[in-house]
Amino acid sequence: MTVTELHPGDTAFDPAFEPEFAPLARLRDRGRALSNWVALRRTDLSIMFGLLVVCGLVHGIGFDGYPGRINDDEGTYVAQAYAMEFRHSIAHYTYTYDHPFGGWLLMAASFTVTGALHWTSTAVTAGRLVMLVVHLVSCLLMYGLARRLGIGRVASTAAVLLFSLSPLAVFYQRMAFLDNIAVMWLLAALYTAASSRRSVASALTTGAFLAAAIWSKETVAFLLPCVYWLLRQHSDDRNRRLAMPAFWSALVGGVSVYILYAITKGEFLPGPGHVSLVSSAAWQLFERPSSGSVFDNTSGAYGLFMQWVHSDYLLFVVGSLAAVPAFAVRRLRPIALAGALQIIMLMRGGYLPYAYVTAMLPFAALALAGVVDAAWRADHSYLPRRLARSTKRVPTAEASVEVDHEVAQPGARPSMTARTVSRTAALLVTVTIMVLAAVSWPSKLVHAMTTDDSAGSAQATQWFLDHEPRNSVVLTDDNIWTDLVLRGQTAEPIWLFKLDLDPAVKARVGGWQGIDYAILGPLTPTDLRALPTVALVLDHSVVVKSFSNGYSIRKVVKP
Amino acid sequence: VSTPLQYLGGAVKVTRRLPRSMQFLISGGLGYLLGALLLFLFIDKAGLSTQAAYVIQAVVTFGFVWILNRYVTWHDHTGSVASTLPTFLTCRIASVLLAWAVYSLTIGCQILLPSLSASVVTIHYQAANALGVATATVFNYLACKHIVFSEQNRAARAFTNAVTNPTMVAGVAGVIAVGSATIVVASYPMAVLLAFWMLNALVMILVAVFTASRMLYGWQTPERTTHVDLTDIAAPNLKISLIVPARHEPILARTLNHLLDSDYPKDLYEILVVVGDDDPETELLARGIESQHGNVLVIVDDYPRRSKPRALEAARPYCSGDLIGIVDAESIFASKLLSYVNSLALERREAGIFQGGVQLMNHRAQGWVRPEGAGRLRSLGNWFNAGTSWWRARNCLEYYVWFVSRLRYQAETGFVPLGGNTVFVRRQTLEDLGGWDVNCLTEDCELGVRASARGVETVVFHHPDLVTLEETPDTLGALVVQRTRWMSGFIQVYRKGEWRSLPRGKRLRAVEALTMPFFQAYAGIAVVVSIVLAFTLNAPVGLVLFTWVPLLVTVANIALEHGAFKEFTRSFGLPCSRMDSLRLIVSTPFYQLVLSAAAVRSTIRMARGQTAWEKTAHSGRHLDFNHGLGDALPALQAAS
Repeated sequence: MTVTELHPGDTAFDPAFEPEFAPLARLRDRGRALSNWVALRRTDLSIMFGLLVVCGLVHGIGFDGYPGRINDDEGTYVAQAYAMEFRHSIAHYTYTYDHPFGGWLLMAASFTVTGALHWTSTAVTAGRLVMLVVHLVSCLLMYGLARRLGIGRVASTAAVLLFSLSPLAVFYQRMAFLDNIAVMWLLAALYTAASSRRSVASALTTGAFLAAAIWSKETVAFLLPCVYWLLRQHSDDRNRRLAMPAFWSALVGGVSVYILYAITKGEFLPGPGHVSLVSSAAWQLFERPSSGSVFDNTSGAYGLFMQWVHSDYLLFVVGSLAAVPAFAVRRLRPIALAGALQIIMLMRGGYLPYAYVTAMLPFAALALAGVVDAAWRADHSYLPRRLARSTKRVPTAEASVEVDHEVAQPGARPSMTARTVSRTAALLVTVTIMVLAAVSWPSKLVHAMTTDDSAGSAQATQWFLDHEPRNSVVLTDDNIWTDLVLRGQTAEPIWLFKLDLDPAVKARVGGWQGIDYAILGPLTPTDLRALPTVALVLDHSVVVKSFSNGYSIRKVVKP
Repeated sequence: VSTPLQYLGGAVKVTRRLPRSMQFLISGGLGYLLGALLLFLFIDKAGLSTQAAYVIQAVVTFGFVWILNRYVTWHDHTGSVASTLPTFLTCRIASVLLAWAVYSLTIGCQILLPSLSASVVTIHYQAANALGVATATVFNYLACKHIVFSEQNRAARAFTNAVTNPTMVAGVAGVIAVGSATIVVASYPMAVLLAFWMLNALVMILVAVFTASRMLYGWQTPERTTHVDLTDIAAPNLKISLIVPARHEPILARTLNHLLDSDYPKDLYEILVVVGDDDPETELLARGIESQHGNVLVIVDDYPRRSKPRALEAARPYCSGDLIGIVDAESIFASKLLSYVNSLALERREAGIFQGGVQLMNHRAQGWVRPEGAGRLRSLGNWFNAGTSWWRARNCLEYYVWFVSRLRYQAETGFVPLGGNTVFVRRQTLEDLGGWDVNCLTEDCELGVRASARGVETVVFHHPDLVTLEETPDTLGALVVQRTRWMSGFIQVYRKGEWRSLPRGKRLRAVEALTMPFFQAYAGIAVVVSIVLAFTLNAPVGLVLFTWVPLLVTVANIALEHGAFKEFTRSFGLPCSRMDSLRLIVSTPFYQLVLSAAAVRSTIRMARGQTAWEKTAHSGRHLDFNHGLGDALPALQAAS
């Protein structure tokens, strides 16, 4: 209110108080504010735009062809998103509380808004398009987070490029996995946690974003200490008593909706004749068969581990190891902790998910770029400068005076020699990273952008729809399942895992005789041992037609 | 020998001596018996169809009941047949529809809450009918009292006039509305109930979110928490008049001694104590201090109807200061306050009003002594009212949040319902505004709204060293009385409508601020129902989850409030144990119930037109607490 000449005796309200075309004036003010905002961040915005173009091109070109349809999980999440959009149910089979459904809820929402399932060549393609957007958002968040962690522009750009262009990242981030969505929310949580405003609202949104991450993939919950630490570092004595409850409220409140969902459906505690959240969680935590140790070269975990190493040793090995020096820089410690926690979980044994590495990549990239940046600036364990400026008020009646925040005072400046050593090391590491990337990345990236490994699956689907009866019962994987349903297969296809593992499906189909056709890619002997009915289907069927990437259509021969 | 007519006359005479509601019930009961008799005659004896018999019976019975009500229950009413009979019949038809609606809804409840009805109660259709009839009876009684046999309906009117009679038109419109609503409800009882509860949940979410966001305003950024700079104090310049309205205040001496202890120069402030002419003890006390200090003036007010705004108005003509401040008779002023206000008023020349913080200090129990000679039951009642202190922590917290955050939010948005204590108004501003509204129960809020509406800027400041200390009401009952007054005052201010001249955006904020106490009271009750529903509602999962959301937001609010409470106790050096935290959290729903009770009480009082000032009693309990103000404590002890 700007009352310079006050006449409170005027009973009528002065109409000149509000400008005549208030909406227009407000619009103009907002326009000015926006252009100021842009002007202040011109450099950062230009860099972000450039990053979007580069990362978008590398991830976008050939996104459907590579990787091939090698993992059924992609198809499963897309099928579940399909079930949400068209059948208004959580999953296309009984929902078993394997993962919270926030991830495919996001996919379903994008499908509904864009109609993607109707215009993409396969359903998984639509899922991968969502991943492309998720990846680009993650890149922006990575850059913003790096800047908020006090990393310079060049190193921040490098962090995003490491995160995005690593062949390992291209491989995993293109696939329609929940981990990618969870990582995006996690980065959003870290980004708001590192806000320099230190407001209650940023603590609240941090909690909400972390809840969204857990809603997308429950495994990120174990990174809670890192988010909390970062938030704590970027909080202020003066409003922490309100900011922290705000964070916890949003987090616990958001996550508890999932538990309340289970309670509402009567599926929280185990009981006869229904699935339950508790038994699924117990299975995930205690009963799920271990993948073995990464140190045992006969185990599945070792195989997966070596696959990651071969795919990109630079980001996976060097980046993960950067967590150790990152502990030396105060502002990078939460990031280092996130990397370290994930390495410990990896070494611990137990079940190793296929996409486990996804959540390691952003922290590896940030730690590597952050450490080199800190070494270049010879800046150890100091807070970001803006925090050093803060003042602290002790809100007690006796001592409520403004005192300078002494905690953030930088120590003695490092000596010239230390600076030289530090800078030389940073230069050496940078050169090494660039050489390693130049040697190993280009051929892999070209392969990723030019190969079509998904053709076999799509061709088999199309051929089947063109040549075989629509009312036949088809046994297939989830990648093909949604395409068959979307394109008019009248008899509901059977997802191969459900034939053996879902009691309801087992009872309905009644063994291998209930199946007419099978459209399958390569199955390992381990798979077939776990799925005896599927093995019987293979035994009692003949190949009608074969396609590339090991796909074939088989017709069941009934006695 | 008495004739039957004489018996009847005697019966009527006896009946007329009963309370009117009883007479009404007897008339209705007789009507029911007549209806049953007629049904028997028409159906069993005359062989009419059940539907036809019902309609004839209804018409005759309604007419009969009207006769009883007109000539027995409301025999003193002089309205003509033409004016009362049509309105009576209209109301009766509306009541039948209402009973049907209640019946359908009750049955619908059973379908909607299967687990509840199976495990707790099975709602029989007879019970549903009884509930419907009971509702209709209450409706009929109120309709007869306030419409059919009301003062407005007294004048004799021809039947043709009845058509243009506004009451009649309103009645018909009411019947149509109730009727169509009944058809919808009877056709889709479950959908209507569900829609109602979703709406209920939505309102609760909005209330909780608004409460939370306003509460967080003051703490949003670290910079916002430190807006008072005590090192930057200007030299004393402005003269300040402090008005102290006192009424039966034994602790007035302490208050005045504190005011006189201020570090502001004596010749730059004056204290005007207003006492009633029926209160010689307080007057004597005040005169004693007046005789010792040149800047104290006692004003004796002889206005018959006592209230705080009346006392303020009595003192206003005697005020000679540039700023006029209000001090409650039981509060402890900070010694640095006047110096700070002086600098603030010099610095912020554009502002007309300066509002400081007020803080209740006794968040813990005070001692309770069993009343002498009281029986067990009376002792228990007295203990619950005066001995329990579970609500004090919440009460203190409310003040803390209000002054640290909410009021500053209001100042930021340009609509400030002022507090009644530690308010400083420029004398010129007050003159221009025309002083206080002596008829308002919350003259402080009213003045703030009027000032906001006329574009006067208000500055709100809060600092632990500047806060005025007060105490919670002595008893739980006193708290309810105080809240009743505040809420009634808010209704008065709302009705007075000064806020309507604000620009549109601020008008909405005004409505929010003035009605929020009622919504909060409503949400307090509704959240309990919401919990029951969340567990028992037989509806799509998404909708059930939606009924959980208000509860989640409420829990989040409690967590935030707890954070604020910790800060409050720390700021003032008060003890805060786990027990205090626990009590604060556990007391939440019960405190809400107390607020809800106050809301109901104030609504009833306003409906009855009771606007008398109910004063809150004070005993000066914060005397016993070390509140951390080093310089205030010795003064306190000296005063006591």
